[in-house]
Amino acid sequence: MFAYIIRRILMMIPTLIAISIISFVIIQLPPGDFLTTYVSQLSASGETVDQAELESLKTRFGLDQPMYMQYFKWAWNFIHGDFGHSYEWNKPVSELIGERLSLTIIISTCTLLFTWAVSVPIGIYSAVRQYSWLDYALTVFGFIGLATPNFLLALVLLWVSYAYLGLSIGGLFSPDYAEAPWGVAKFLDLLKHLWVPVVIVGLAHTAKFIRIIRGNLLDELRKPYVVTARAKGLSEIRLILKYPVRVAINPLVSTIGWTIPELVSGIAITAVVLNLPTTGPLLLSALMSQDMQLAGTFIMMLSSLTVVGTLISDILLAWVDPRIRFGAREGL
Amino acid sequence: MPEWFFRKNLTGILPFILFGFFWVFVSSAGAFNEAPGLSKEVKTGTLPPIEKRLPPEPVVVSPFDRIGHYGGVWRRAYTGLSDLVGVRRILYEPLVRWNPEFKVAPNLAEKWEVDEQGKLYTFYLVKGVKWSDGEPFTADDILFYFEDILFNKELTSSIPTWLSPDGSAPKVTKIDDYTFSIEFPKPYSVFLQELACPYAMELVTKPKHYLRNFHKKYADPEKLNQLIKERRESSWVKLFHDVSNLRHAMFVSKKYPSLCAWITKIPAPAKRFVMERNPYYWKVDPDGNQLPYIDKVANDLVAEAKTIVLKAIAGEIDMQGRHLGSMQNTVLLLASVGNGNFRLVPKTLSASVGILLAPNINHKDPVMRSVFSDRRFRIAVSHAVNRTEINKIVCRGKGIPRQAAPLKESEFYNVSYENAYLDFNPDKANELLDEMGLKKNRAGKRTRPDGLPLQISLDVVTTMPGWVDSAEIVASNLKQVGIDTEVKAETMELFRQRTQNAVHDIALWPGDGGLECLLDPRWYFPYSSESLNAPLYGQWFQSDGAKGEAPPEDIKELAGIYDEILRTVSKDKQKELFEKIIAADEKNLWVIGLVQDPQDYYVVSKRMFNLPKRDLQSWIYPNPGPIHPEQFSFELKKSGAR
Repeated sequence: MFAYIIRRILMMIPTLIAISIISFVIIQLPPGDFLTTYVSQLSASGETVDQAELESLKTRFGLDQPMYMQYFKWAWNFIHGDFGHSYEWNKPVSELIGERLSLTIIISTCTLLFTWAVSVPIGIYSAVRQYSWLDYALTVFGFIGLATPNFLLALVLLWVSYAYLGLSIGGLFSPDYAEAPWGVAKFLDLLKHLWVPVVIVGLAHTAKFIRIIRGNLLDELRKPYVVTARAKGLSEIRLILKYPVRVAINPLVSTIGWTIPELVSGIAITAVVLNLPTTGPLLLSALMSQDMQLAGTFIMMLSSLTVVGTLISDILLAWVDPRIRFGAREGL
Repeated sequence: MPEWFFRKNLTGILPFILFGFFWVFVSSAGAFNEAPGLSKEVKTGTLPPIEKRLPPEPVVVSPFDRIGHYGGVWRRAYTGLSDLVGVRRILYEPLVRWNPEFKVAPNLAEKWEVDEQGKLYTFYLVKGVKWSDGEPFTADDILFYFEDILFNKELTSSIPTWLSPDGSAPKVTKIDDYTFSIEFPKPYSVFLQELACPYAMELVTKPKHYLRNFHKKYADPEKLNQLIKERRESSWVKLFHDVSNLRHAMFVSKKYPSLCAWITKIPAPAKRFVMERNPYYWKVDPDGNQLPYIDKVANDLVAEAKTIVLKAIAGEIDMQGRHLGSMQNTVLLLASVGNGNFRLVPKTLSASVGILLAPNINHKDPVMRSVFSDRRFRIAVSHAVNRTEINKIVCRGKGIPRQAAPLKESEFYNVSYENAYLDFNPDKANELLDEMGLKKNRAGKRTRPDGLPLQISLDVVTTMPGWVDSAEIVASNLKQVGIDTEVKAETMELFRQRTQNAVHDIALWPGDGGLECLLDPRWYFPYSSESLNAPLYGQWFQSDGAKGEAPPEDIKELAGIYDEILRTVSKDKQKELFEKIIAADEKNLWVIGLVQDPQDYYVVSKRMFNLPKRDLQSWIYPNPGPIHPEQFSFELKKSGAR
């Protein structure tokens, strides 16, 4: 198992390098560069830029160098912990990403916990009480959650929280706390706003997970080992939770690898609508304005999260599911 | 000395002298008031008393309605560093400024003199103005800009066109601390207007005492190197540009000295970018209260411009026009103004038309070039488009169909150009196109002179909602006269790339320069590369023939006339010359105007006063700067002004 983990970690290095090259190339594919965006933004507001100023900006940003040089420069600094400089925000990338990333992780973790807390019990219930009226009701509810686009839900909740709860439009903080240092009051203010995105992003995943657990559990419940256990007189709750649920929950665990980045990037549209200070909107604007170093760093972080997430899910899976654990041992 | 002074005895004029003394006493000592927040700092000694901060004779700004109250936070929203244009419009303190009538008025220069030829300009600065850190603002700061930045080859590769109308640099001389002169080699008639434009704030946003620390000529080399390292710049030039950038230097640093009403407190691009009053601001109201009235300007960062509309409707914007324009937003705002806590202040747009068609006479394909260069084609297009329909659908009937001619409010207004070829007349369009030899094939589609099918694409930017709609209507109109037309909706970046390289067919863009005809003549002749009907000619003019493509004689002649206008001091003569350009435009119709947009609005909190009934919307007149945002004020309210 240990050697397996080491091997997996070593495999991550070339994967990440490949990702970084591909993403850097992709960001460069659209016509123009950051300056084109910058100048067109200025011209849209009526301002014009002298040709001479353009040339000097080009050299200042290093945009006159060939693409591979820009890549190597960025990658070299990246290894040394310097994520580069954002043209659009005129700030070091690390400074921009820092707080946003931590807020994003808070939201993602809460969302994941919310999703599990809601979907696991419901999934178990609707499997055990299959075709009961509550099963139908929850199924309908779940499908609505799955079918409603996140941004629409966001718009509705935005209106509700403004019209009935008196919260400020968008954002994770009230205006007074936006730039305040961290403290108890600011944290409480965060909690007041946090539930909106958590519910919005969580609901879509909840429906998916309910269906997965319900389906898997139904398969397991009919298996001979369950029948045997029941015949031996094990109490119903213990019986279900101890064996079939552990197996049914397998897909949840095995998809953590994708769920983490999905949650991080999945809240992008919701975050744009709700105006949350998370990574999503920043990545979007970085991509749109071809702010290379910022966008590149983001994509690297998301990719690393996927790779690390997959590793975690593999380890967890081995822990949850005995069959995989034993399989691994035999392999070694 | 007047005669009566010698005739009357001293007792006769004594009362006058006493009154005079009293008046001086009132205006120079003890008569000034400051914001309550500042008096605390004065008491603790962190700030000198108000008389020491204000100039001996501060500039007086008369409020629009009445004397205001101190306090309050002016809430706005912005979308990021590149959106600070909005804040720059508030902090408008150039050497000379636009007044609300769009005429040049004194500002930091209290008066000026121009010699008869229009070459030598002498400026007299307001005495005793101080930067926001308390250092005096003098002619040395202006000279620093010219001599150490503009004329420094390392820092500036070429002098901006507006400061070198014929390609050579002006001569700048310091006369005394508060007087300096600028001399151009040739007469330059619109210099004062240019000085009032927002980009001219370069001159008065370069504090020498601060920037010398970053300038190779003045700084201690060791310290300079250390700064370069600290900020991870590769050279002092980059460092200097980064520190002194006009577009955001004032907003990303708390230390950057400024002459504006508010100074940065929490630098951009923070989630809430805050500016607070400048304790050294050099303007007062008629009662001697130091301006600005409003304590703070807070800008919330939003990811999406649409959120700003939402915030405005929710009453979370106190005064803003940026991102709240366009027909769609206007309809939304008008619909919710009844139950909101805001009102709307209209703005007249300075663009001649909301959108115009610019057929590319620099087209790479020689056949297309010959088609677009034929004035009959452009006139046919003008007759083929149904402006009434565009007005009805895109502007809800509130616009005015017209050509891209100077606006009524402009001194160059011309009725006949405004109404030239305006009528919707497909028959006439067909006739003209037939006459050109663009025959129709069996399917009713026209062919080019070389027999290939005539296909035209309309390049339009997707950002603005109404533009694509207008383009679609134009396309369907043109199809009706047999021109196979498709709409190419693209992002701003792609649009720019295509138009700057002149690979487009017909581009759509607003008719900038409807009011400020002389300052932005891009649609009257191919003045700059922003003249999308002939970007390569524009580049040729701008680069003195080094880039782009040499235009034909008739267009060169127009540029010659414009050059003459720049060198003509007499207003009447200017008008006479400009009429020649307009006449050529009317004859040739280089660009085809559609409809003038209806007015836009500012969203203004019901608690805010001292705003005019209406304003202009333009970049050259950076509204709301000219209407003195420093005298905006909030009504007092028990619940506390936010």
